Amino acid sequence: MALKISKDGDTVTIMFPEIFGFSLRREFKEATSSHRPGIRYQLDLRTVTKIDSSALGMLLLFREGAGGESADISFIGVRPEVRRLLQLANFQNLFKFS
Amino acid sequence: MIEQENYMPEKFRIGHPAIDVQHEVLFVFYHELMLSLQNADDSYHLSDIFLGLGSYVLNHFKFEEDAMLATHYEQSAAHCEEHHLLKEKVAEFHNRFVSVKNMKEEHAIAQEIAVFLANWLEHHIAEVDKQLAHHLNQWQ
Repeated sequence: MALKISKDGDTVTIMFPEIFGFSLRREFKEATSSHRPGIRYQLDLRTVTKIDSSALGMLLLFREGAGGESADISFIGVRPEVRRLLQLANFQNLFKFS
Repeated sequence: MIEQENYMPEKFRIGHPAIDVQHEVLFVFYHELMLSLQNADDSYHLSDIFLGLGSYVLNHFKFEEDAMLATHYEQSAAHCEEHHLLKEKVAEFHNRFVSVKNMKEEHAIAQEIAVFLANWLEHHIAEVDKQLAHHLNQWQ
């Protein structure tokens, strides 16, 4: 499994590999398909150096499935080059950056 | 810029980094919509695709409208009117989508959305947004 998932109380942390793209689609979808109200998600991107538009779509679909505007999803450990891409996509209005 | 998979044909690249990335995401939604319509076994729920698309379209429009305002874009009114028409269409699809009674109806609306989205992307990006990108790049 490329994704590393851990739980601590109501917080679920998902750690991504170096490349976050279409190859992770099925695994990411399965990992995020069951949502419960009140769950806080932390997406740990500290090792991610490459991210593609499929990944951006996956993140938005995940957000929608997790409750849309009420979803509690934060990015942590975002490298500058990945942060720049997320900001170009205007994700700062949709996700939290820690 | 974005690496690896890219569902946006090169002819839609308009030369503005942020707007190009945001358009790429719209094409990903279109791709996901098509996967769902083909009943691919790992497809997302149509409702998530539709609501996610609607939400991201509004986010993208706000980005463009803020940029137009900040740079005193002369074609702003006409451009925003196109956004307004799409927002109305999204709202109409949304109202129909939330009142569907069965999978067949849901599928039919999703097919309509796919056709509408493809036509809109073709016209709006290739023509209207291209002019905006030219303006924004000159402004910088």
